[in-house]
Amino acid sequence: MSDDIVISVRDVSKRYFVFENQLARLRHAFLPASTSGVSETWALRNVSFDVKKGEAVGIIGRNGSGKSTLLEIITGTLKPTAGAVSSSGRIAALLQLGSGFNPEYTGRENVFLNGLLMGLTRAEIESRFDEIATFADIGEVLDRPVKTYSSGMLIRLAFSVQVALYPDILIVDEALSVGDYFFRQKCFGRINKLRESGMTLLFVTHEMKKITTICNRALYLHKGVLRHDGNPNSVVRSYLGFDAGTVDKQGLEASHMEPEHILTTLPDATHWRRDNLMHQTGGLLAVSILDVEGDLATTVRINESVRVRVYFVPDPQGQAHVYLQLKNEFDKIIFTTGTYFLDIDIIELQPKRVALLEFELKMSLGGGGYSFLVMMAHPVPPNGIGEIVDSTGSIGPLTVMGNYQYECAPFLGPFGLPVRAHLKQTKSED
Amino acid sequence: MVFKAVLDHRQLLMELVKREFSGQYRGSFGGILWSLVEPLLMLTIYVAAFGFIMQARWSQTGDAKEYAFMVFTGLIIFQAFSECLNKAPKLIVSNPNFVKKVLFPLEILPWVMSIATLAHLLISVTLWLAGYILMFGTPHVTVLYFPIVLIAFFPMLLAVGWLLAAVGVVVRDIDQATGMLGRALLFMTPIFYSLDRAPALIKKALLVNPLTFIIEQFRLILFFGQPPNFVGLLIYFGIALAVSSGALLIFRRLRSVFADNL
Repeated sequence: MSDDIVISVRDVSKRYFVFENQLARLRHAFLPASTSGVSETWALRNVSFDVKKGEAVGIIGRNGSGKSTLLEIITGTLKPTAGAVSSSGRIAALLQLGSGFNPEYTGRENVFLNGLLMGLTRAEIESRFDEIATFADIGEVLDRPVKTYSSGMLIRLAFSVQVALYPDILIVDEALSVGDYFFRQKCFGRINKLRESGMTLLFVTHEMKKITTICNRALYLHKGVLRHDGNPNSVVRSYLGFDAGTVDKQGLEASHMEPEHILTTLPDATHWRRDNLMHQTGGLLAVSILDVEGDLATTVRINESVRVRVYFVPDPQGQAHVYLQLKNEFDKIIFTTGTYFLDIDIIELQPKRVALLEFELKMSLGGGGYSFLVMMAHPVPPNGIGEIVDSTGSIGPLTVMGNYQYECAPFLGPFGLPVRAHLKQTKSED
Repeated sequence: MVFKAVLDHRQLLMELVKREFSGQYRGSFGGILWSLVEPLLMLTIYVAAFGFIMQARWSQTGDAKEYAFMVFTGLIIFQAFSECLNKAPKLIVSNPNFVKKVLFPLEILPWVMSIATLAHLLISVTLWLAGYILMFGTPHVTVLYFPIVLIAFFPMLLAVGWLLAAVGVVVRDIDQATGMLGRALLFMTPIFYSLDRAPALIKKALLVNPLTFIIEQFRLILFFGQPPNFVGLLIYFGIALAVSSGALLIFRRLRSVFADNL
């Protein structure tokens, strides 16, 4: 391993076994060759990358894409099935909430336990204890068993212990999102300070904003395969574009459509694409959500506009209604629009040809994550919304940024209604 | 090999043992008193049942007092062993964080358990001596040999710890079997009866029981005032070391699948 590479992951694969019964489990533990009653799943497949000293690497991917497994393998708590991982320097890991704590021990005892595990002596931990207690700032609670802690207190203590031990590599797995705003701020402040002194950071999160602001490199895992490794912005785009599936080129050619027509119309990157292309009956092809600069949008500010482009093929009669639905993070439908409501003329559409419908939406919504759903409906005469024939499933999320703390938001509450206000005052009597 | 794991993590071991001992009764009203009450209560029940109701005697000429003390000696060793038998299967399973979230030297957990067990055993021995002084007067000088007997016995506790802790991860219901084994062992060990009074064939079987020899030695030094069988203890220690090394090997073999099974 060369000097400035601190983590080297070579062709790492991890296989999990699923056992039908206990006997199969025991037999397999002693005789790995026996396979009856055993099935396998791969959490990671041939993942390779190097991390240089001082890099901040964000790891993204859907749930179950192997992120945590990868971190556990780098930390050394899991052994890879194949491949090798090597690292140099002291690793501190915050893997999930309260990890490495014994719930029965008090906070104080856990601090010592964790320090000893990281290879420090009792005396060294004692000398840093006050610093840890001050940073965690949980007061008297420190002498109560950790099992009585709230999740916020847990992460405060865990983070304080890990960073107070000045690790060379810090691994954080979605844990920090539990702390309150000010503690998170304090944590990132500390992380930045440690990074200035050369600490390497490995960071898993679902908040794309964090990846693009904190990290200088990102890895995108998809079903255990390292899909993309590069600068955070392009990786985040690839994540939001790819993960819903890609166009099956063969399917395209086999269809009754004009291939060159499709290939010139469909953009390279989209938020959603049809996996295997439709059929005679028509259907949805692709959806992309673009920000004001024309890039695939992941985050917008309140009141900023996005354009939602829907590529679809009308049904054989050359008719289709297209609907766009927004849901908030609590799975509540908050808005639905579409050709029917907007009274858009769909008579002109031709069958078997790709059509493009573009919505322009001003995101006058409260801060938070939103998902999109696009549906295609077959108009049922004489009139009406029609019969839904195709639907995309959830697309997104698109985060609407509302920094209520430091900026004057244009409105408060879930929606910004078009509003005008006038101010008048009666003339004073005197 | 048995001792290497622990040498590397002395401080951690000390911390864990301290915690194990101080934490066991934390939040309880009786505190350390429970360590005294349990063996005494069991002793009273057994002596009442066998000694008074069934009129069992240790030797032809013995009395109930002698019987009680002989049973107590046996129970001290048995309870240490059965404590390990019951705790070991849960050692790893109850600490998934130590397996999955941090790099923890799991091999020392059976050490922690065995040392804590030994501490409980010492409390019982103190209790025994107090009772002896009360009933018979000055104890024999040979009592001072008891650390030697315990050292010979200790690797056996480690062996139980490593074997059951590791197998307990893979076979979760092993504790059902060990619980049963413990109850059976109570009567398959010469605790309530003397080895000499058992029929020849059963006597042979009893000698295979790893507790029998230690209990016999314990009775020699505590009650009869005779020096222990040093050669026997040395051989026992050797065997116990070999068995615990084997258990440690099995532990290490299964170590790699712990994380996948929790």
